[in-house]
Amino acid sequence: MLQTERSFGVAGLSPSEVARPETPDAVAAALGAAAAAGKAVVPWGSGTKQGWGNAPRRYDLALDLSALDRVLEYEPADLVITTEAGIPLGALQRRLAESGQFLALDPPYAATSTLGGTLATNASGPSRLLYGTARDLVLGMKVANPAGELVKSGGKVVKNVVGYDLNKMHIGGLGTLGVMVEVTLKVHPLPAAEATAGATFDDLAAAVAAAGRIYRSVLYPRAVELVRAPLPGMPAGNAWGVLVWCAGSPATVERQVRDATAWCQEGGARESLRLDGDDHRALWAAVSEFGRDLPESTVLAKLTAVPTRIPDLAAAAARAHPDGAPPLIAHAGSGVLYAALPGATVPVLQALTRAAAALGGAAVLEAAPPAVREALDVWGPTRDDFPLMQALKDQFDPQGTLNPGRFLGRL
Amino acid sequence: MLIAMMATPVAARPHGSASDSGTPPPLVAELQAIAGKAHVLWRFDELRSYEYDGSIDVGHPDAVVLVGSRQEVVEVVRLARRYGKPIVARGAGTGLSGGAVLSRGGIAIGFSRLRRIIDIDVLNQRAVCEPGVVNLDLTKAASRHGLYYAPDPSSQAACTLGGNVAENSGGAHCLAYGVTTNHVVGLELVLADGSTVRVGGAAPDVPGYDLTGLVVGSEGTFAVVTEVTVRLMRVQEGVRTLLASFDTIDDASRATSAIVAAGIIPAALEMMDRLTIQALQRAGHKGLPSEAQAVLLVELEGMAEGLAEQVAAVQGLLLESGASEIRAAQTADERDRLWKARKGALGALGQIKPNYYLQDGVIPRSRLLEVLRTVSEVSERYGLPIANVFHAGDGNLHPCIVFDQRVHGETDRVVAAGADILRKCVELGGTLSGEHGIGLEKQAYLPWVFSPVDIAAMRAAHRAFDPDDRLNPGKIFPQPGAPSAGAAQTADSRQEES
Repeated sequence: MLQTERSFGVAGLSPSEVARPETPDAVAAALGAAAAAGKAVVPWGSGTKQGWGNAPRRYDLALDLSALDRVLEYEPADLVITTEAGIPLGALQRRLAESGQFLALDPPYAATSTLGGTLATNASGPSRLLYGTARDLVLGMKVANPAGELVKSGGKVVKNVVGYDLNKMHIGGLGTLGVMVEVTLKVHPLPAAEATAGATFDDLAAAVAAAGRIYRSVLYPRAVELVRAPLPGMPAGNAWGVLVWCAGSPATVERQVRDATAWCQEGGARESLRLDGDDHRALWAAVSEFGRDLPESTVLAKLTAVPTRIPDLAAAAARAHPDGAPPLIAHAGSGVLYAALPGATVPVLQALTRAAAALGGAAVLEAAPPAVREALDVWGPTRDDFPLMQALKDQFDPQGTLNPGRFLGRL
Repeated sequence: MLIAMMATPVAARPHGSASDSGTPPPLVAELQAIAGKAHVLWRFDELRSYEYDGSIDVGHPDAVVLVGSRQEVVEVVRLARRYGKPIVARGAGTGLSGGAVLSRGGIAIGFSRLRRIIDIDVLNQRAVCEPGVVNLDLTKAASRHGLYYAPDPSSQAACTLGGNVAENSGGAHCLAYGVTTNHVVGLELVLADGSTVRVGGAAPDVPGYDLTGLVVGSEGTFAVVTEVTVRLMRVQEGVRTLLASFDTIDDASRATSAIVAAGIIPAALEMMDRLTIQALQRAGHKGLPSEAQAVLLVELEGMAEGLAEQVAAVQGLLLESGASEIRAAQTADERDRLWKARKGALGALGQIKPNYYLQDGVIPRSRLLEVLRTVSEVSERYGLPIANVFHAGDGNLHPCIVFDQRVHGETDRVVAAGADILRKCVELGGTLSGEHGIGLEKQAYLPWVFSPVDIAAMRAAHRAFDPDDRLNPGKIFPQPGAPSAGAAQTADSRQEES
């Protein structure tokens, strides 16, 4: 990973040039010049997620955005911050924490990944249950386009219906329609208290039922996870774990812990646990980082469906695992499951993709060995809305300057 | 939005395009073949109520078709294409910026027959609805499962989900839970070429661009929405509603900013000023403090344990900011009465003058004090009373200028006063609309917040969906040849001409 970062390599390709512009205008100028010269550009934050997506069709210029790391406007009383997009999330969170606030995103690589990269990949974590995902937190942005212009969308206030909401197409767009240089975000007050309530179950169905009772309840926890993975603070073994991230006022947290624990016990839990302080924080960091340090031969699949389909997703993942018991974590209340699948072959992954689609969801391979990435679109099959996506790409990046070939349908 | 509460504005209609009797024109005959005679309106009188929405802008449709299925939408869109006619989708017509007005004629597709809640998936907290479902009806249907649909525009008893999607509607309880775009997860669309496409869906994080997010708030210009999938929320365990009175509007503004700055996000935080309170009292609403210059309606929700603490913290901040009195609703009935007053405030302003012009601007929440002072200065400068009844916690202003359009020149002054307030919002780092949309009303102001490059990008997104500009044309963007102050400013002169 470190070597990849230094060399700006993507899927075995290396750029012939690296640009590290220091201002938004310079980003636009560099991108405009590259597009005019017919070059292919990979926008680069800190490189943590350059393994996501398909291999680029072409790759000439690495556009390193790490110099754009300034906070531009921050008025804590408004719960809104405007910052350059290259700021590392860790630095952004530290700045917000000084005022008792935070950005409610807990994606993988939370310390080092940049804001821009996090948004471009729509990376999320367990807290999405309560706070939503990037689309719920971004208020506005400034984006450099291949014509060398800076384009503004949205604004700096929490409610805004002026013009089209173009923020949305850049969030999760993998930098294929423009390069974010500035972002305005809605931030939240840090909860006064936090704790983890957890339980282990022998039976998946019982664990799912307990998790469901909790995430559908008036407890409104910050996260509810279904896990079967080695995690700090969790008993070793092959049991199913239910983890509840309790947050709020001290009294609220105690109520959440009490009810969640009781409901797990009523639901047949083998044992219960409670984590506070550093133990609590270490556990949730590990949940967010699940599957991010796998050997190269292991596939990390992100499977999605409506929450009640989590057991079916887990079963589909099991069929793609040599022992039928992949390590996995699921954002149970959100319908997102991550499974580590060592040595998964192309036919096995194709079957997994079909299974997820049959459940009304999708399978995305966030990490996969080169042979798999050559054979498959890591985003899965396109759907009948793909012509609209192509039309957007044609409008915003007609020459295929930005990350060509890396997005869904090799856009 | 300009509202004529007594006089009905009449626009010049095209002559000889649709006669009152005799055989229908070919376009109408073909529409009748698609949707049935009973569901196509084309005679002069039938079309009158479809010339308006909640704004003053007026447009004359060639015909209105009340569709009964998605297939009929597809056929109507194809027919319109063949005739080269614009298509405008219409929910309940409660929009406030002219979004449903056929400013270039064409076919209005009415969704009043497509009001079926197709599915409520209780365990996954999702609902699939036809676009004509009334916002409040969804919440009513979900409530038996302890669920509700969070966005609650003041018109929620009438407005439809399809219209909410088009305008990205907000509401009083959006402070804590977000607006329409935060709750819509999937859509079925009919595109301008008549093809049907599903975007997003009940499952999260559908790979590819977030087309759902692009379509929500596109004011009917990207596609005709034929089905909406939304997420439902669990009704909170407890709710407390407070009404705080203030001797000055400055104190009420400070209290609002203090609550937000303290990191407390109430479910709702609404302000009403003295003029609004007076109007409500005249309209028969009881229980509002007569002496107050402003009141804040604060609603807190959550678990019993946290709620008591939150109420205490908010009460402390209200008192520190100078609240002269705080009342807490003791019963569900008292709470309902407070919300009835809030949601009935605009109607009540008819007690002061026959017309009102409801503005919609947004500012950073810490700038409330400044912008309300500007509103008061504008009121004095133009000699027009302005009521303030708005979503204070979001910084979403609704200055409401009351006037009498029968007074010569008053409407022009009203529009100019509204523009002055909006200018101040933009100057303070805010924007032109928080929830009503741009439509016809504010298209001339769009360049106040977006550069030609920004606007070109928006047009490029539109081309990807509707390359021939068939869907709700003439909205959002400044129109060539239009007067610089926008369509609304010409409203007065238009009425005088007719």
